[in-house]
Amino acid sequence: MNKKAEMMGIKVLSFWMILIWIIVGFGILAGVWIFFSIESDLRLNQAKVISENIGGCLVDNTYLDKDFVKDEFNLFDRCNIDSELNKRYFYINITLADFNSNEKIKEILKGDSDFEIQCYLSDKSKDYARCFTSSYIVYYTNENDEIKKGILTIKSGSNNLGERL
Amino acid sequence: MNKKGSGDNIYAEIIFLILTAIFLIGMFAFVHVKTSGSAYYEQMYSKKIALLIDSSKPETKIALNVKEFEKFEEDVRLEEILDVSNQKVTVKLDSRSDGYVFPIVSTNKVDYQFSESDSGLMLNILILDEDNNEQKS
Repeated sequence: MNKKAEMMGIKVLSFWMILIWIIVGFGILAGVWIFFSIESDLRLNQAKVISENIGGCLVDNTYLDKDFVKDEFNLFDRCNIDSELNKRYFYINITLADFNSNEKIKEILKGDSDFEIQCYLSDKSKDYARCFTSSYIVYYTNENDEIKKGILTIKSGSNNLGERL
Repeated sequence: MNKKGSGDNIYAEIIFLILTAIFLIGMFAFVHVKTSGSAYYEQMYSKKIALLIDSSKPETKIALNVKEFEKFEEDVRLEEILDVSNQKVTVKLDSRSDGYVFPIVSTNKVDYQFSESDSGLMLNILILDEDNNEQKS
């Protein structure tokens, strides 16, 4: 009778032991997976890098590149950005507006405009692009060579998670 | 009868300890493989190098400690590890894989080379300016 009770005790222990192993195992797997998935998502960092790099390239000591408002101004040559920007991964929207009237002076847009919606909803799904917006109060030269005060807004988006070949 | 019962208990305890040890070793092995394998470093370095290139202006010099590459040198030649071309950074640390690729937006050309230092293998990256771009092409 005692032996039977002991055997049952071992069986009960075995069940709990295996259950605890499964829980611990899933805990470790989940921990490792969450840690590495968070580490590997650099979309917001890349969007920030792109936005700040363009800002640094166009604005010098609050003065906007004097050619910026001209039609022939080429952002991609000026800032060494790929003119064939991969629309699957990247989006750039640069807007210059007059400081007083808020009138839009110039807009440069490259990439898929769907990113605008994705950026707005980025906290709803991890599949949507991550975006970063930087704004600068700048002095720009208009078509009449007058120096005006304006607001330069640079919005960049990245949906680039990288991929294994 | 009691002696036999306690003998069974000892066997059960030993089996329990052995199985627990196997489980723990298995878990450590899983975490070790996940954190020290080539796949992890390929991804980490391709992204790190890509962001460094994207955020650098021409004539910037970058020195990056890549001592982890040393343990993959037997499998992949040093000159095959890194490739920066066509607005993509590719890092390959396993001869059986094609590596990990991370697209970039910068069109700046880059020159890179590996060097030994006291703290291990270093990757020296030079972001070339326009004049150097023209000279290279």
